[in-house]
Formats: sequence, C-alpha cells, structure tokens
Amino acid sequence: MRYFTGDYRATPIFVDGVLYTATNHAQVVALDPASGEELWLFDPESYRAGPPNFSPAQTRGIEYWTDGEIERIFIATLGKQLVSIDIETGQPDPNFGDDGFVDLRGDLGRLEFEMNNITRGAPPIAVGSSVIVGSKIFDYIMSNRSPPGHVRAYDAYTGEFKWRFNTIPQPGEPYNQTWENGSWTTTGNTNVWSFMAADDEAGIVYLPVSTPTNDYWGGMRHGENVYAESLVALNAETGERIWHFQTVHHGIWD
Amino acid sequence: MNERMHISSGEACLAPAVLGLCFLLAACRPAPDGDATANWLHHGADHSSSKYAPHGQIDRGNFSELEISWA
Repeated sequence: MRYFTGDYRATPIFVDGVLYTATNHAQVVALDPASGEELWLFDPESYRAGPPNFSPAQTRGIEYWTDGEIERIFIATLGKQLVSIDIETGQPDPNFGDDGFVDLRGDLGRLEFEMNNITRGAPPIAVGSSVIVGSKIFDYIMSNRSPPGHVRAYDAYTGEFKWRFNTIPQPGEPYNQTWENGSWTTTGNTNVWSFMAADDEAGIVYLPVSTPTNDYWGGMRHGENVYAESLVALNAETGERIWHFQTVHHGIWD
Repeated sequence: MNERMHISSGEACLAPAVLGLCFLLAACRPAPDGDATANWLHHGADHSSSKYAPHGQIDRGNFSELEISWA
C-alpha cells in the first residue's frame, strides 16, 4: 500500500509495537513496523475544506494520549478539524466533539477576516485532559490584517472548549500596551506553528510563539509585541500564564 | 524484525581489546541491543522532547548496511 504524502513532514510515533503516522492530508494510518502491513487507516477528508491560502499541504504529525484506560490519537488538519481517533479501532471517538471532530474555526476570539489564511500543521499536544492546539498562518502577507495565533485547549474526552491564551493580549490583559496604536486589533500571526513541549507531572505546556504580521516590517505594530518571539509556559488545565521569555522585542525577521 | 536487517551491534564486544570499553559504556548507555520495544510517543520521543531512544540495533557502524525492507 502506498500513500500520497507530498513532501512528507510527519514524525511517526511508535506505541506498543505499532507505528502511527499521518499523510499531509491528515489521513492517519497504523502500521506493523516490521512488515509494513496496514492495521487501520482513517481519512478525515480534510481536503473537503479546500486548500488554505498560500500554504503547501503539510501535516507535521499526530499526538498520542492516554489516561491509563483509553488511548487516543489527536490530529489537527489543514481543514481546521481537531480529530480524536480511538487507537484500537482507528475510528473517530463519538464522545468527542461532533462524532469525533471539533471545528477549529470557532473560539478564536477574533477572526473576521482572511479566515483562509489560518490552518493547522503541527500536532496538538495533550497534557492532563487538555488538548492544546496552535496554528499555521500565512506570514508573507502584504497587509497588517491577519488572523491571530491565539492558542486554544479542548477537553480530551468531550472536545469541549476549555480555554484560549491570547498570544496578542487583548484590552485588560497584561502586555496589551506593547501593541501600540491599537495594533492588537488588526495584527495577526504571533502563532505557534511548531511543536509544543510539556511537563506532564507539573501540568505545564510550553509554547514557542512566532512573529506577528507582517513578519518583515513592524511599522504598523509599534511596541515590544509581547508574546511574539517568546517562549510561554502555561498551566495546561487553565491556560493561565506561569512565565514567558521574549527572545526578540518587536521581531521583524520572520 | 525483517529478514534483511540482521544486525548485531554487540559484535565489537567479542574482541578482548574493547571488552573493557564495552563495560565502561554499559554503565552509561543501554545494553548493545537496547530496548527495541521502547515507545516513541511524541515527535521528540516524549513531551520534554528528549529525542532519546534506547534502541541499540542500528548505529554508525552498521547504518550503511541498511536496505529497504518495505515501501
């Protein structure tokens, strides 16, 4: 069996003798690593949402999660789906979201424009009972308006929305003033497109946050632009910030 | 394990001259064949992205001998 993978980006995972991986269209497969035999294949049909703007089809992996009783694989697709798959059957978990799917177009707080510029590439990370999702956002845009890269968490059992961490702080939140002249209203990106890490015991998730819109010129977003270009540690259960470190103030180099 | 990958990275230990070295290494790394069943649960092996696997069957000495087993 061969799968179309384009420029294959996913890191496979290996759980109790079985290899799991995903194609760039988020089709998830379980394989016998010795023979290559397919144990199951699930296609969320993310391509039905159409291709995201300016973004090659790239899916960077899947997330394994267990509470000691049930085991799930989570994937965030180019089609803005968060999917929970039962690792035994390869079928979506009917108790999660809408028959195994959560629509990631919601709960972003501000997404009035250029919806198609935002998509998903890296896997979510599951810490405790939170499935935490970043985003991939087109970043060569020649305008200062773009979807924000706010990070969200969903319940691992039900798919229910748990919290959102505003990577571009909104009014009343710390560091909102680092986005001068109201640039927090229009500036986007400042997203977590890469892999997250976590301390499961302490219940902390670590977010590598990228550059704001436009990522080569900051004239429309004066200020230090916190939490862009930062490593942010959050309480995975509540989304509350524990600490952050901004490596570059007011980043202008991608 | 597939039939085209007969690899034993423990072979070097048969030479008496390197026995001592092997014992030394044994103290700071897994047994030569490692644990081929160890899980890799995250892109970086685990949530702290240690990128460490205790697998010992493939190393710099036999990597060039690998052949495609299935595709």
